[in-house]
Amino acid sequence: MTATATPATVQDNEGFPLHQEDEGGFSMTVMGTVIFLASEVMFFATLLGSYYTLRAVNADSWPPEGIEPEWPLPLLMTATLLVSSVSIHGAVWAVRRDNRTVLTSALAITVLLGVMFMVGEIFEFSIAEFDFEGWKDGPPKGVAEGIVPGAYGSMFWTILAFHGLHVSGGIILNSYILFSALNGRFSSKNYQVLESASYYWHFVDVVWLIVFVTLYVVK
Amino acid sequence: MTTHTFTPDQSPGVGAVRVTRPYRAVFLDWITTTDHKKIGTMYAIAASVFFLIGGILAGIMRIQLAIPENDFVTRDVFNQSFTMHGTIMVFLFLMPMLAALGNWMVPLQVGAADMAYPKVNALAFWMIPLGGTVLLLSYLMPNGPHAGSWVSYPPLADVSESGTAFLPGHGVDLWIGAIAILGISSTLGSINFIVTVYKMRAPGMTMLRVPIFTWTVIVQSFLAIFSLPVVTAGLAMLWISRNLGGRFFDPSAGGDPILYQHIFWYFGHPEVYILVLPVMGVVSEIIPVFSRKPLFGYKAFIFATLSIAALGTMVWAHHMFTTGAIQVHFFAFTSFLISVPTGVKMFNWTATMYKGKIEFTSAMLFALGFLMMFLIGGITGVFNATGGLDFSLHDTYFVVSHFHYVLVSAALFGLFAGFYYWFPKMSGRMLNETVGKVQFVLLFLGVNFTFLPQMLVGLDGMPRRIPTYTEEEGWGLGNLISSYGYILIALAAILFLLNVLLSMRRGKISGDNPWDAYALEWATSSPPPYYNFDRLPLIRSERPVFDENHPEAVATGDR
Amino acid sequence: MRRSPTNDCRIPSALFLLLGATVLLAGCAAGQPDSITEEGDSVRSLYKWVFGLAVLIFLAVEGAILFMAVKFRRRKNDDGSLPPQIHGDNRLEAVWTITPLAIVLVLFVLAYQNINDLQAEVPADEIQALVDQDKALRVDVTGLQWVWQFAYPDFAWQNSEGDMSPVKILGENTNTIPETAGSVPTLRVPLGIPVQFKLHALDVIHSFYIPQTLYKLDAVPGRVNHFEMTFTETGIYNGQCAELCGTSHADMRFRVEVMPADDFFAWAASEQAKGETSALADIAAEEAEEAAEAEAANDDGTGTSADDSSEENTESATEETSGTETETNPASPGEATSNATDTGSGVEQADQVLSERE
Repeated sequence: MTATATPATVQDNEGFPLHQEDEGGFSMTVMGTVIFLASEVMFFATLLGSYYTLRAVNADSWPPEGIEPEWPLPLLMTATLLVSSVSIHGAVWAVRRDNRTVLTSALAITVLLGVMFMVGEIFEFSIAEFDFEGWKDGPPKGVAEGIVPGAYGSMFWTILAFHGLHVSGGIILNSYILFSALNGRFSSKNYQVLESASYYWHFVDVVWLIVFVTLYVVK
Repeated sequence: MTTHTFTPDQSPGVGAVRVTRPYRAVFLDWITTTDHKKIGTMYAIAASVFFLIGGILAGIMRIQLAIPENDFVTRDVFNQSFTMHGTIMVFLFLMPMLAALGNWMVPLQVGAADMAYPKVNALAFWMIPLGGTVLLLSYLMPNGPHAGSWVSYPPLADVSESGTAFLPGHGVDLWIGAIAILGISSTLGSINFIVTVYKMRAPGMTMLRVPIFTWTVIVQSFLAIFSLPVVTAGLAMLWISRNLGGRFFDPSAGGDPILYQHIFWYFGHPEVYILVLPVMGVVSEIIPVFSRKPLFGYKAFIFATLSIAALGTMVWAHHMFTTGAIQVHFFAFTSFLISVPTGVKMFNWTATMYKGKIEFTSAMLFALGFLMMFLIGGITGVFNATGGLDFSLHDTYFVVSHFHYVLVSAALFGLFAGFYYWFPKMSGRMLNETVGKVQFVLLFLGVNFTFLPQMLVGLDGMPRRIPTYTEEEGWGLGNLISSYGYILIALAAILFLLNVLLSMRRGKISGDNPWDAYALEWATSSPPPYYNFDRLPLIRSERPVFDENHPEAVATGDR
Repeated sequence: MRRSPTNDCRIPSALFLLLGATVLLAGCAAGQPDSITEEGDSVRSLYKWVFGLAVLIFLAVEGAILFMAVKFRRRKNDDGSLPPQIHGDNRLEAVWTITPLAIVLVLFVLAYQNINDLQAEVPADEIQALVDQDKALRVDVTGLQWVWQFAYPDFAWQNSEGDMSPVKILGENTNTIPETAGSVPTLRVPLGIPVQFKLHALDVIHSFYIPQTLYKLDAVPGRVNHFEMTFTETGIYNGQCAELCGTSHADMRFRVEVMPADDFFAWAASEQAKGETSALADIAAEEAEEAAEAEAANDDGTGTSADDSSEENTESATEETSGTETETNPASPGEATSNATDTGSGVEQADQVLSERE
C-alpha cells in the first residue's frame, strides 16, 4: 500500500481515504482556534468565578457603598459588539459567495465597531470614581471615610481590562484580515483563517455578554 | 521480517551522519526549523540545561540541611532556592522534556509528516528559553528571586494593608511573567498535539488503534488547556495586586487569601497529572515490547487514563485540608477514588509481563523501576488523601517525599526509560547498555536513599520549607542520609549525559527497529528522513509494525 | 535486527529485597510520634490501619511485579518464538477495579469518622458553662512574622482603659531582626479537659503545628480557624509554624507545657489576680496624677508642696506596680513573660487585636 501521488479519492481496503483533504469535518485552522478558545473560556471563567466568590464572601457590602455601576454606556457598548458580530458573520457569508465588496465592507465595519467599543471602555475607566486600588479622589459624597472599593474595584477593573485586551487583540486580528481581504487573499475555497477570526470575535462578544450581566445586572 | 537497510545518505538526522556543512548553515537551520524532530531535540537540550540548574539548587539545599543549624546559606537564599528549584523542575525541566518526547514521537506514531502547526510548534519551543531567561533574570534583581515557594501564596507574595510587599522587589514579578510565558507555550503545544492526532492520522488508524503514548499525550494536552489558563488568571491577579494596587487577596479590603489557593490548586492538581500521564504512556510502550506481548488491557488503560484526568479535576482542595476553609470529607473521598484507576494501570502493566519473555534492557529496567517506585509514591499519596492523617502530614517532609517519589523516582525513571528506548530512533545509534545498567543502579539507590529518610523525618514532624532545624529535634541522621543520596542521583544524571554525548558519535548503529517494537515510528529509518515515512504499513491494530513483522501471529489470530 | 541483551534479573531482585527490607524496618522503627491528645490517638489508630494496608499492598503488588519479572524472563535457551499474545481480560479488569474500590471505600469510612473526631468541638452554647467550672479552656493563638503569642480570654481583668485584658504568653517579636531566632514562648494547657483554640494571623498565613498532637491548622488573615483538643499526657512538647511565612519561618517556634488541670487553673488564677492588682494600681496612679494636676491648676502659690505631695503619691503608686511585676515560674524554659505590663510595640499591637477580638 503506497501513498503515491494519485487522485484524491484513493482509499485503502477498509475504506479509509488516503488523503487528508478527503476527510471532511472541521478544517485544521478552525479546530485549533476552537481549542484555543476553550482555553480562553477557562481564563475568563477563573476571573468571573473569583468575582462571584468574593461577592459571596462580602455578601452585605458588594458592591461597596458609594459604587453603583451604571447601565447606559455599557448597554450601548453591548449593542456595538452585537452588531459587530453580525457584521463579521456577514463577512463570512459574503466570502462564501465570493462577494468581495460586501466582504471588505463588513470587515471594515467590524473593525470600526470594535474600536468604538474600546473607546467606550476607556471612557468608562476615565470617568469612574474608583480604579484598581481604591477611590481615585477620596470617597464620594455621603460615603464614610472607612469604606473602600478594595477587592470589588480590583475585580471589576481586572475583568474589564482583560476583556478589553482581548477585544484589542481582536481588532488587530480583524484589521489584518481586512488587509488580507483587500489584497484578494480569500475566496469561497479558502477562507479558513477568516472563519477562525470570526469565531474569536464571537467569543469575545459572548464573554462580554456574561461580563455585562455579571458586573452591571447581577452586580 | 522486512527492514530498511541503513545507508548514510538516507537523511540528515541527529548525529546519524557526518555532514560537512559550514557551522553557520547548520546553526541557522536549527534556529529556524519547524521540523518536529529537531524541535523535539531542542526541547530535550533546553530541558537538560534547566535540569542541571534545578539540580544544583537541590544540591545547595541538601548541603544546608545535611546537619542541624547549618549556615551554608542564609535563610533568604534557602527560601529562594526551594522556590526556584520547584519552579524550574516543573516548568522548565519536566514539561519541556515531556514536550520533547511528545514532539518527536506523536507525529511518527500516527504516521504524519509533521505536527499540525509547525510554525506554532517552533514558537512554542522558543518560549521555553525565553521563559527560562525571564525566570533566571530574577537572580540579578536587588532583592533576588522569588522566595515564597513555587505555589506563591498571598499574603506572603502579596502586598500588606499598608502597601509594602512582604517579598519586595521584582523577583516575584519576573517569576509571574516567566510562568505566564511557559504556560502559553504549553497551551500552544497542547493545541498542536490534539489537532495533529485528530486530523493527521494515517489511513486505517482509528482512535482505538492510536498507540498508548500518543493517547496519554492527548489526554495530558486536554488537561493543560483546562488548567493552565486558570493559573495564568490567578497569577495575573497576583501581579495586579503587587503592581496596580489590586486587593483580591487582602482580607482587610474584602479579599480572601483562600481564593488564590483555590485558583492555584485548581490548576496545580491537574498539573501533576499532566506531568505523570505521558510518562505512564512511555512505560506502556516499553513494557509490552520487552515482554514480547501486547499491552494487557489497551482499552481499559485508555479508560483509566480518562478517569484519572476527569477525577483529577475534582480533588484540588486536598492541598488545602489544613486551611479550615474547605469540605474535608468530599475531597478525601474524591482523592481516594483516584487511586482506583491508577491501581488498574499498575495491574495492567504487571499482567503485561505475565507469560511474557522479558528482556532486561536498560529501558526495561528503568520502566520496572518506574513501576516499583510509583507504587510507593502512590501509596504515600493515599496517606495524604486520608483527610485526618493529612493534618499531621501536610507541610512536612512526608509530602515532600511523596511528590519526589512520584516525580523523581517515578517520572524521572520513566523519562530515562523513554530515552533508552527511543534514542536509537532519534539518532540511529544505541545508548550504551552497560552504562545504562550502572546508571539504573545508581539512580535506584540514590532516589531511595534521598527520599525514604525524608518520609521518616516527615512522619516525625519535620516541617518543609525550613532552612534549618535544631539538634534536639533528632532529624539530623535522616537528613544526612538524604543528602548523601543526592550525590548518587547527581552521579546518575551525569552518567546519562556522558552516555548520550558518547553514543551520539560512537554508539552502535541501531537500524530501523532494534527492539522489534510495535508502533509506527519503528516503520521508518533511524533517524527518520525529514518527511518521516517513505511508506506506511497496513494499519489494522494498535501494533502495525508488529503485525507486519510477525505475519505468523496475524495468521493464527493470536495477535 | 534483534538485540540480545544480558538477561540479568539479579539486579532488580536484589534491589527489591533491599528496598522491601528497608521500608519494613523503617516503618516499624520510625513512624509517627506517640500522641498526646485524644484526637491524636484517633489519628494514630487510623494511621495504623492505613499503614498496615499500605504494607500489604506494597508487598503484594511489588511482589507480583518482581515475581513476573523473574518468572517470565527470557531464558538463555529461548527459541525466539512469540509468547501467547494476550490482549486483555475484561473480567480481570472488573475484579481489579472493584476490589480496590471496595478497599478505598472502607478506608473512606474510617477516614470519615476520624475527620469528624478531629472537627468535633463543644458547642458554643455549652462551652461557657464548662469554662466557669474549670472543665474547659479557651486559648487565643496569634501568629505574626515571626513569633507566636497566646492569650487566655477566660482569665481576663479590666485594665486602666476599661478593656478586658487577658492573661498572655508572648514571644518577643523579632520582626526587625530576621536572621535571629524568635523567642520560643511556652503555652501552658491543662490535662484532661477540652481546650478550644482560636487561630489568628496578623500578616501572612501561618500554621499552628504541634507534631505530637498529630494535628495542625492554618492561621489565615481574615479568618478565625478553630479546633479543640483534649491533652492526655503531661510534659513539654515542641511546636512550630508549618506554613512558609517569610525569612524566619523556621524560627517561628513555640512549646506547649501540659500540666495537671489543678496546677494550671491555680497558675492562671494567680496571673489574673496579678493583672487585676496591677490594673488597680494603674488606675490609682492615674487618679492621683489627675488629682495632682487639678490641685496644681487650683493652687497658684503652693505649687511646690503640691508637686511634692503628688510626686510622693505617684512614687508610691509606681512602687506598688513594680512590686506586682513578676517573672514567670522559672521552671518553664524559654523567655515566656506572663503579662503584667506590656513590652515592645509589636506586642502592643497583638494585645490590641486580641482584646478587640473578645
